[in-house]
Amino acid sequence: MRSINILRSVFVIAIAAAINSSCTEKINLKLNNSEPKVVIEGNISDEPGPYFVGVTKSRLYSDSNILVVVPSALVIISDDAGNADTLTETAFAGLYQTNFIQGTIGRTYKLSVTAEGTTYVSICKMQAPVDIDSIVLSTETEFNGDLDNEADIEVRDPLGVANYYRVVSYTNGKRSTGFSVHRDRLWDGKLRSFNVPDDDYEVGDTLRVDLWSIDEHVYTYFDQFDQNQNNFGAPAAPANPDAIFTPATLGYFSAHSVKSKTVIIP
Amino acid sequence: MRQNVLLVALCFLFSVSSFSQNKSASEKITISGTIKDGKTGEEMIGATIMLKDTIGIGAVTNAYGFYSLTIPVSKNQLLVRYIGYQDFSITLDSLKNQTISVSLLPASKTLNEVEIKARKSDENITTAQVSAIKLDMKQLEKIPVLFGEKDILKTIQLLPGVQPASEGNSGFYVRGSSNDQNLVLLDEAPVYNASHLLGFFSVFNNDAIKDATLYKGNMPAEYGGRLASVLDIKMKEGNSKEYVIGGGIGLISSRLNIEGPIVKDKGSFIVTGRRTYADLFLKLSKNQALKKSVLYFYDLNLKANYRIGKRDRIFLSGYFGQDKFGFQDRFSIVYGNATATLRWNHIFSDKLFSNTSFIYNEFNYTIGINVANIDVKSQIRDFSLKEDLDYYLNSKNKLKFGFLTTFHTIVPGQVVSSDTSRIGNIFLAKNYGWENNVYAQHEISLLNKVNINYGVRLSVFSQVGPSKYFKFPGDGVIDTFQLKLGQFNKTYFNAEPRVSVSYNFFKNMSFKAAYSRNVQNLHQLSATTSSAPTDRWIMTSNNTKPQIVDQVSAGYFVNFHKDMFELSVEGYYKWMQNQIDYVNGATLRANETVESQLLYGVGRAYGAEFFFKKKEGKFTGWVSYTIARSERKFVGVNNTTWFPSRYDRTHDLSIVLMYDITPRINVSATWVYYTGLAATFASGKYFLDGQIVPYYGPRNEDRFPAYHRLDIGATFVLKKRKTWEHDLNLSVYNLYARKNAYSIDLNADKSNGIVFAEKTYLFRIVPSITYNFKFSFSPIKKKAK
Repeated sequence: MRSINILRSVFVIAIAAAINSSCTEKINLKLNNSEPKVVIEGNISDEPGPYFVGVTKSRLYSDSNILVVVPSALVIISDDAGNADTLTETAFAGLYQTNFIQGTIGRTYKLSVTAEGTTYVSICKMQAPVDIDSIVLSTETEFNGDLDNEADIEVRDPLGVANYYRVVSYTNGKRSTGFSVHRDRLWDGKLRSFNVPDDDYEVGDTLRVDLWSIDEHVYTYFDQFDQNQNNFGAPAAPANPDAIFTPATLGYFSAHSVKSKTVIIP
Repeated sequence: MRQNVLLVALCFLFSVSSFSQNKSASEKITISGTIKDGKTGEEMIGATIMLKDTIGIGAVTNAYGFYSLTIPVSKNQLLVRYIGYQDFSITLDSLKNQTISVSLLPASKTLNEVEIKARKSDENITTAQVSAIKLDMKQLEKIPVLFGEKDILKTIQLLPGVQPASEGNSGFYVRGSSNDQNLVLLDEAPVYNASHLLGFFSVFNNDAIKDATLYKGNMPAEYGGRLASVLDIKMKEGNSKEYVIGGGIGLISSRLNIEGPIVKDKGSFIVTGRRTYADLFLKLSKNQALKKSVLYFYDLNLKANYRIGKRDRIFLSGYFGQDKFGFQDRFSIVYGNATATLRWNHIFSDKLFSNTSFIYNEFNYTIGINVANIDVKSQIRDFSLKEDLDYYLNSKNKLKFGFLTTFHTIVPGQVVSSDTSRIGNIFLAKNYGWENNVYAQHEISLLNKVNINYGVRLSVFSQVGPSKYFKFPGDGVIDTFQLKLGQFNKTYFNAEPRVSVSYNFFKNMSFKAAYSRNVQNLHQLSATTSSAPTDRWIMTSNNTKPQIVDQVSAGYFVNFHKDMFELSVEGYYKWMQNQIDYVNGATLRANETVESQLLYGVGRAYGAEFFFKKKEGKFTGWVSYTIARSERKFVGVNNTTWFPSRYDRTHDLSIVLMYDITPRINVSATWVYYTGLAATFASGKYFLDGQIVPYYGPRNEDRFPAYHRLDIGATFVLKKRKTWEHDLNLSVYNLYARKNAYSIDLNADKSNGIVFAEKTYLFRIVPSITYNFKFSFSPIKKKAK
């Protein structure tokens, strides 16, 4: 899928370069309006707490980008060892933090959020972590001829288990954007390299890469964002990722283990 | 319904047999033979032979130029006609069964000494066939196209009920159906991927094509296997009288063709080739990455035929084409089709004509991802045996029956990795399928006013071992089962009744109606708007049922001003079952349980088509307008309600104008307009991990802006002699530089969060120039007959 989209865009660009015509332009497009929905973002990991849960609302696409928060929600994280922690709202309205619960590998966690009269529930198992073997720095020639710094991490995938990964990077503490997820369906047990998101670093920068071992449905959730990308010729039927809360609402709850590696760019 | 059809069928068969017994009492003779082009020796498809002074007794030549006509002994004056050719009169000197073969000469504008004039065709009125268009290959030469590449698949998109898949794309949608629901036949061999360069060009080199007919559903029982349409393309046989070399040099490609007799008037051959050199443009680029890239395709068409005695003829035809595309040394994709058809025509008697074909066809691709040291290989391949028999009972009744048996092999994308690769080999099980069809159809004309063509096609499909199959009982459970060689997976039997009726109110006016059922057992999984060569094909299986369509059409057809003008109005309604869609985030590639990613639903499409054409004179052309709707319903999508499909275009208008300024100069223009395609844009947004992500509303609730474009062209004949001619063709695509949206993205301005929509458009004005030449080796010596 990815490769053909790249091929297609390369072809389109090639044609464009050949006849010097293809271009982009802003247009007026009438969009339909949707009802605001509750958005939940919850994370728990094997790193020390507290952990945070955000409760917000969706907006019309044409609205400004000011976050609409949902304050005074009842937020509880519990596990299969009998712990239950009712989260406390922080100084930022709509953002809630745990009090005592500690993420432990192998346990199953349940997030329950009661907001605007509805209780949303999601369950997630914390998977075993996988180490980052190394961070590999290189320089690539971009399509436009420019040189570009690249970073990859090498990961030795455990054989015989289905692994799902999310890669998050921090350049001088600034967190990467995008939802970079992978699964080992095609390379179980092999040494594999993943591109580090937002890797336009410079000499002297501190680059930290976190490898999250995530649950399968969390992988599927983030992967569906990727499927919606409007690549050339591919806007077939974008849809919202399948909800992982019951009843259905937007957002995710991820229990994951984390391995980390840091380099200072030489 | 089916019982009624059978009953009607039985009634007709009975009436025919009693009919023919009556006839044998009175005296009749049968004349048969072939009708050819006197200049090239090519057999003519659809030429008419008829009684001169009795309306309604006549025959039409079949795909091999053969006809059979039974007439009363009291008549001895016959007339042979073909559009654009001089009429040919025959006076029978003996009143017994005989073979008469005729060569027609082209109607020449310089021939003014006699009253012989090219006759216009009224076939559109008199046959029962509805929803079919025979393409005029000569007219096709005049229509301006992108990059000056004459393209049959783009020309049919200017006809009512046919729409392009996207800008400049050779993929097409017929009456609200997908691209894979079109059966494209090249000399009877199915072509699975009819496009080059990811859809911008078709695989059909115009120089090799003799005849093409498009059936927009309601096809006769001899065709089957796809829901929406059949595009039946026949390759030229090659000039059997003289050697001809022709070719063209264009902006994007060059063409060369050679044809001539093997043994004069006994056998001939034709070889045509084409190669693009778009990659030369890349070399001119300053961009290093582009310079190192590869981008071209080529086509080769070959055909030879030989007549063995009076009753037998053998044809061998083949096509081979390939696309090569590489981006630096990082990615490459090579794909192409190959077809081969070996045919044997045999005339059993003056009433029974047989054609037997062995057909091979394949489509394959290889993607090389050098950065990961892997190749992805895929193939779809068929072997077929086909038998068609034409039985000309008498001048009012014609029977056609036969069978087709096909063995399908699908190799899904296999991942082959080198030792150094970090991805392992992935061998998805090959799939084998065996498809069998038998059909019979009967064409009957009653009282010279009513023509009926009815028939039935039976299709049987089963996957066969050895292979691995899957069951999905639910809740993500996957059961695997193996079939050994000779074992069958689930077998599907389907009866496909077809009937079409025409009633001629007057000689030039008719009303037609038709019903047909079509079944499709091969399905292409395409998750993008425009089809890609790597879109996967799957077979009907224990999970995926055959796609079925029931279509009714009705139309009113009138010719006026001595058949100079043609007007038609047609309406249709289609019900589709077992349509395929995908679950959210479906993984279609390198997935052996791909069927777990599919959704099955229903579809409906309906519309009205208007067509007005001026066929004769200096000024010719047509206007075609379609108003239509195409919808799908899948469990769980849009709360299981009807939503517009990707093939839904409310309005579709094409205007094609051609004008011969002088015999040497003609100009042409086309203007197209259609409703933008249905799409899903964001209706809301929310924050996730500190980023803004879109929130989508119901499927396909939005629309692209309307598409419209004007193209113009001109052909200058530089020289035209009997042995040598050349011309220059100029065209301008998108004359008023309309920036039609190819894709649309929604973005939020990072500084102020204001949302804007941004379109990508491919082409502004694209001028092109093509030089064509043709010369013949020996002058024409023989006159007609």
